[in-house]
Amino acid sequence: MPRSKTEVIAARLADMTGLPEKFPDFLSFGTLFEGPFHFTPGEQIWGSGQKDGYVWFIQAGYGFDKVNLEDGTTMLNGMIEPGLFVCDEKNLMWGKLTASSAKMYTHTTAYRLSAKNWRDFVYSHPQFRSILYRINAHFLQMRKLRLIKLKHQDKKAYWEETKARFPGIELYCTQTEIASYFGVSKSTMHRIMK
Amino acid sequence: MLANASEELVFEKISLPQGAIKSKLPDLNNHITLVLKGVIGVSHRLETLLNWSHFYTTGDLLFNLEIHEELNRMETKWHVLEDTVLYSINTNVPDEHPLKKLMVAFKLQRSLLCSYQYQHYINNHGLDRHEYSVKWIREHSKIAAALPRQELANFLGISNSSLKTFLKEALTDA
Repeated sequence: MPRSKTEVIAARLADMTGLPEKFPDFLSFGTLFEGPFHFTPGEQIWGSGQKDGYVWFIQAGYGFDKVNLEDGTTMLNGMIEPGLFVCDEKNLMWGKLTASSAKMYTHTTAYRLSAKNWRDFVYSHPQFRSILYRINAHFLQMRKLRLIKLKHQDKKAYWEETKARFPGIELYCTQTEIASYFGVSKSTMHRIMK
Repeated sequence: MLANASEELVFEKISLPQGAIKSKLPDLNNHITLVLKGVIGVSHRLETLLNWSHFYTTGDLLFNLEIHEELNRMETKWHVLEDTVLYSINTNVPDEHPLKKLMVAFKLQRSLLCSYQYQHYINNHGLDRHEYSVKWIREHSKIAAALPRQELANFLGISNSSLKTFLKEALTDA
């Protein structure tokens, strides 16, 4: 039987935390999301320079998010896949214009919650807030690993691992964007990809 | 608002002597902590390699979640590279406290910033290595001088020979 938007989001949060799907805060949180929104291959969920930011929940579909760097270039940041909550962090934290973009390469179904409503919900739900802190703590550990791998893992092996995880990556991202994901120059990336 | 009700908050000053190494500091849980003076380097272990990811200096917010004892699988440690003084505000206040809402906001922002800071370091590694390394060495000459060359090269994500060239460039222009 098809599940409602609220149930889908609550089930994902339950999956992430080990708490029951019927946990009241998960259901209230899921209810706040708007949607579904549908995207076709090549469409952006969000682009850079936008004032209004959202926390997106991806129910179905694959894509990539890219971050604008200080020097004006763009860096591949990661893959978007079903079950992920994604957003522009600068917008979420400081209300700044978005400094990233997310483009899907398959048909996508997603739901969204405005950054303001997200913050209001977190402020008014202490239990949910504690869960969010725990999730963030794990997220931090993943980023530590990503940073150190970026600096020190053998780039050829890292490329093979990334290609296996994100099949077709080279079709959807430029070589420059991929090079910055690995922290190497474009010419080095070209050599690694050969 | 903070200034008007600051006497109702608990502020603490914490001194860490040069040479101290901390692999946990639970006293800073639920605190907003600022570096008043000094330098703390953050190292991680990946297999046999020891890496520096960043250095906290005067004015930086300090996030002890990165050395949280239950989650710390990369042996992340704080190395006090200079005598350091921290200034800390306890954000755990009772519900009726006049600054309760502000403390909740601080705590949430702290949690978000803590994981975002690593995204910031990841983004830095997407920048041109040459330009970034020379700029970093110029801006952090004392830290650069204190680190063994191999560790500095690892931190910047460059080879030893590149480091030699970049150091020369940074020092020449300085």
